[in-house]
Amino acid sequence: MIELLLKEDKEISAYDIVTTKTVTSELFYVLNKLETDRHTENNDTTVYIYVDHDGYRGSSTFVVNAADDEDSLKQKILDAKATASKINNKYFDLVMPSDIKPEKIVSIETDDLNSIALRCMDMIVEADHFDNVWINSTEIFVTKKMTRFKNSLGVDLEYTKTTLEVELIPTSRNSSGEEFELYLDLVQIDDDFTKVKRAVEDILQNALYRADAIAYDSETMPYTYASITNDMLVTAISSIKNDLNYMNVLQKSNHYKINDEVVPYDLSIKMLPMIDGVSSSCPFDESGIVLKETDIVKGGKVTSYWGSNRFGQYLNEKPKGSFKTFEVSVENDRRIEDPNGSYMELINFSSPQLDPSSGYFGGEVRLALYHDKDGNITPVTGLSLSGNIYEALVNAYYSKEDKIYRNCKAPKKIYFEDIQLH
Amino acid sequence: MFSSFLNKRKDKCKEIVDLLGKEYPYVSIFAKHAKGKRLIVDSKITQVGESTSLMETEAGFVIKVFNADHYSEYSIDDVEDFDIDVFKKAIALDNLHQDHINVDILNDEPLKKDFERLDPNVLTDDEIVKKLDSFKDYFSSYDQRIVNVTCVFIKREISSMFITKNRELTQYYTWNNCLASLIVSDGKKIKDNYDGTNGHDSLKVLDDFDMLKEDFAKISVALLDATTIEPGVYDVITAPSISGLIAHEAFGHGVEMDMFVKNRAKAKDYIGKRVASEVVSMHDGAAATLSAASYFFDDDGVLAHDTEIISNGILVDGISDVLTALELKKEPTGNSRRESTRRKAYTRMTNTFFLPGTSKKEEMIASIKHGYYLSNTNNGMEDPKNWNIQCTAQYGLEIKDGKFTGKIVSPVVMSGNVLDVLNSISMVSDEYKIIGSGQCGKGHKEWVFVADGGPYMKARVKLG
Repeated sequence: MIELLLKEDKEISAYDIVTTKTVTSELFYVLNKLETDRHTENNDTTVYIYVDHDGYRGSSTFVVNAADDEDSLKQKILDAKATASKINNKYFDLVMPSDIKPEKIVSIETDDLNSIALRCMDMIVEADHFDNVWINSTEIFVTKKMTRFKNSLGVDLEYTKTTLEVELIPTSRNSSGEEFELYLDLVQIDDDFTKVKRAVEDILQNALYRADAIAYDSETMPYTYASITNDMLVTAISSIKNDLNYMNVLQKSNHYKINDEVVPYDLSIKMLPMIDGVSSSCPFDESGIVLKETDIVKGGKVTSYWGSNRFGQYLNEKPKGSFKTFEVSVENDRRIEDPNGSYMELINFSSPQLDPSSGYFGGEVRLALYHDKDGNITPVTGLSLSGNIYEALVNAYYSKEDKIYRNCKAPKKIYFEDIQLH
Repeated sequence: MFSSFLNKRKDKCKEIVDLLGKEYPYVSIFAKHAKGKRLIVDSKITQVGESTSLMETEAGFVIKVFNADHYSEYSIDDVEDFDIDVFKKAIALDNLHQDHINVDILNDEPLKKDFERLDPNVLTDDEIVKKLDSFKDYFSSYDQRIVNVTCVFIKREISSMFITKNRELTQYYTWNNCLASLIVSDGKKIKDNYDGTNGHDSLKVLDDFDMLKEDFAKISVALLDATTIEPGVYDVITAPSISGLIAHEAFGHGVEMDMFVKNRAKAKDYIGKRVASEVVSMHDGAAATLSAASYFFDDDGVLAHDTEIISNGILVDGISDVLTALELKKEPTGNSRRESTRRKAYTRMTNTFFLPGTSKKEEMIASIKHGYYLSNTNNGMEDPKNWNIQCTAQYGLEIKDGKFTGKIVSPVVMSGNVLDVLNSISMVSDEYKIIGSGQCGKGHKEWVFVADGGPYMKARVKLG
């Protein structure tokens, strides 16, 4: 009904409509016992209307939900028009229909979400086979989301994606009876349950390490390198990626410009509509731009900004779109196996801090593994990291293996030579 | 005014409760109609419209039933065309091979009541945008190093309804936030800073922002000269924003009693024991003060409470949602909260704060030999199991021999053991403030609006 009302209204210059239908199956366990199961079925519609006046393009947004009937929708349209006609924003064009085919999102293909959730739990129980560590609580979310974008110029795009998310807290106990816990948040787009099992086994093993961890002693634990896992790397690189968003450029909060060399100098960042296994993959953005692979940093140099249709045009750029996924890569001569000799592998932070502006990064390390020169591993705790990420990255090395962390594919580990642990 | 949509659905909800009540020993329906509006005036664009965040704008229903030995929930947009067969199919789980937790049936004590709290000075969008424009112009002309200004006003109207066989509750209340984000640059360094005001009275929220804008602009520009702090242990004075952050992280998350059920919180073993110095008292509750989380009943139909968490340094009690309270055989404290009707209710904080003491702020600053005055929340983190906390202040002002030196450090990370931090508190001011502009997650999700705050406090902590 909403589209008909918008089409009939001659005072509306243009509109975008985004609709989603979301169905979920959710299971909540305490000590592997089911406490609550949830099932949701919801529809959302967001409408953006534009009113051109005096050379400006004013806009306003409203939501259509179950509380709206025809009368309330008409009132919302009236209110939005009145608002938009008073807003003096610079003109920009809506996205035009294109022959470019959106990439197909490959995800779990089923309508039986309950079954996926239950099979996932079976695999978690199977992974829970260690002594002195147990799974305290588990939450499983299977979400099927259908998204459709339409605008007044005729763009009509849609895709469906089903994701599986597991949030899990393992608890371990040491020989003195002290208990420790870690946290796993796993999101995947496929139903390869062996990946779930592997991730659960890894976090349980780390929880055991945490229970056995001894206090850090700088005198008895000399190290050449300290490595961090790619969650910190992705957080750091995200700040560079976000720095190059049209919005930051417009707000003059960007540190880098086109052709600037970013730190580290041999790093590349590629924006992608889809990465295998990455749940935030999407073929088009919220303004209807069909997303295509875009290098924003190549060989250490900024090659492009990226971002929304509106802000791209405000910068006189051909808008690249608002990507949700990206890939970080580095030159091969910077990629190594785990280093020979002693090194400190920082596994888990309490709450990693990163100030993109100053480059300060650090935080309290819950678990590290000290690798001595003979290859022995000692779990360590009670240390913290602090340093400048931009300075540290200049001489950093990266693992050969890649790993997905949230919305990014990046080297699994990053090795620093000069980083302060205390 | 309470939502006409929910009013129209009340009888249907009762009908569904009766229908499902024939098969399930406990049935409840929680319904919510929230209207959020965001008015944004930026250096480059103006945006006015309904908020697209489900935390601020939504209409939905949660049907909860006791399903043999655990609880099942079904969240939908509307109940008008409710179909019991579709409902049964949705909650059907072929999981007989898996263990269930075996909880009891929830209490359903009779109560029928309607609650309402109105914004005493509702402003039009035009009036708000005009005021935001004036703030933007003020900041833009304050100093040329302020290169971008974003001023935001968020209006929230919340209607919710809770229906069971014996209970029929409705509530309507509002909350408003005004905030500004400034980007400052001297051509070499770029810094950003934000601050804001909040309340249920729109006009007062804008007037309060008017009062703080000069200090906010001044400190934002000063951040360009900020250095990093030399790591070490210092005496500090925490501003109410940082006191609130400590309350939230140290003993807010720590006493969420769903963590007690999972044996995930050390506080479980400390009820009745000393956890802080004698000058420390702390409360949480939707009824504990008027702020961002001051509802009349929670998302499982429990009336708002004022829970005493710490009294003169002794841990008194925790906070709970209905299921947790059932499992612990305690009375629920009105802390069942959902991000939206699409999410599960967990034990969540509401308005969490330290109570004021007797010291004067000036004498507290004068008592510092060498330390820092910490202000403005950046972020925080807790570890209820092992009692480590980490609180990050946006900035710290150096104090030497009881006087500010003019040196500013940013950001400042305060970390340590909860007991060490709380037991080190030696002075608490007689003035206090509660800040109703926070959002809190559980794990990395399930966001809800919260408030926290307290007095100025003197403590000895590790800074880095």
